[in-house]
Amino acid sequence: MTPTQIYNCQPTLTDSEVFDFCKTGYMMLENVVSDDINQRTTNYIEENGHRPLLNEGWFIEAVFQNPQAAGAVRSLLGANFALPIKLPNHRVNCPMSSQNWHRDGGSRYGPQVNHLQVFYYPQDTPPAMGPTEVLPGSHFFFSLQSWMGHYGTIRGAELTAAPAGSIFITAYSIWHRRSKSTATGWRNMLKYIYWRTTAPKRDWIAEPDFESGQPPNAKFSHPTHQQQHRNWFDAAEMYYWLCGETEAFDNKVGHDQWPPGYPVPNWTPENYHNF
Amino acid sequence: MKTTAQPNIRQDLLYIQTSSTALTSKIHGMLLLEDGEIIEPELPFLYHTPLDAIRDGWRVIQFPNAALMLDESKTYGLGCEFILEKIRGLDA
Repeated sequence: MTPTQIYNCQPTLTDSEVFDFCKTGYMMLENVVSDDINQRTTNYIEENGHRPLLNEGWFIEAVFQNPQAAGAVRSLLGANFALPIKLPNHRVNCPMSSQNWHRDGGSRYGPQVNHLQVFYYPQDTPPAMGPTEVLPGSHFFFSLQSWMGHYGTIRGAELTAAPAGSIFITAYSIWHRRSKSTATGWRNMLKYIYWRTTAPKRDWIAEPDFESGQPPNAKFSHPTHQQQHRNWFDAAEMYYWLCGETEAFDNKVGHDQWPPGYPVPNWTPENYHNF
Repeated sequence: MKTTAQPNIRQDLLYIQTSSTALTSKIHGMLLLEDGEIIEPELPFLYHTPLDAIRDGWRVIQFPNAALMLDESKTYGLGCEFILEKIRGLDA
């Protein structure tokens, strides 16, 4: 059994980037792992399987402790976060049909960010190779996995197609699935979870004007399937939780600009109406 | 073995999720069972609203479940769900 290891580094996300994560539930970091590591990982899996990678220092340093990815994880999970102790490989012999939409077991609904489920592609993963498909904003949709089997094409779903060496970070409860692949060949996708060991607080890169509620903060680039303004409210609630200010959020009943979730006078942000 | 199944017909199903309970509300999600095959339609969807599907011969067999809409603290599932059917005659 792999013992828990704690890791710390400098946070690399700004307020806006943290809030973007709160809105969408995922973040893509393209091509952050070097090509030689990607190739070494692919060759290693071919020769040894994926599980022994958990004990390989070069892999831990280059992937789990990758500066860009770890800096984002640090921003969202706080200092001294726990490194992954398990490493599944969603290895697919393409072509293959799409998987059912689902939330992973172990995820919990709510504004808390105590876990991050992270994915790494060691090879180029274009749409034809069946990358994971995610539904931005769905980390706020409550559904039991067993009640999601009949969902099919959903507006706003995004493919995490990316070049080799890409890592994408997700809120644990985001809806996702393997997309349909049409190419031939093996697609590896390593999946692992970090978790929080310290109480949340706003210790990422603060933007001085962020809390004044500038209108761009309220823009949602993805379609929402929620009730009007609910997406703003849920994202703000998660952001305040990450700041360690849940009580302050609960006490807010109105503001001329912030937090979103309450109709704002005199201006209307983009995507004001559900699509 | 005696069976009540009707061998000469087959049920097609259309699952659609919409933004509201209105028959004219926009469709967010869709899944089709057609002639025994499950199909995920590509965008843009063939139908824009449940009413479009009804006008094309689909019959509603389940309306959105109002019980899912009584708790404003959570967003349940993917919007309002209609399930429709068509009965397909099979060649003898």
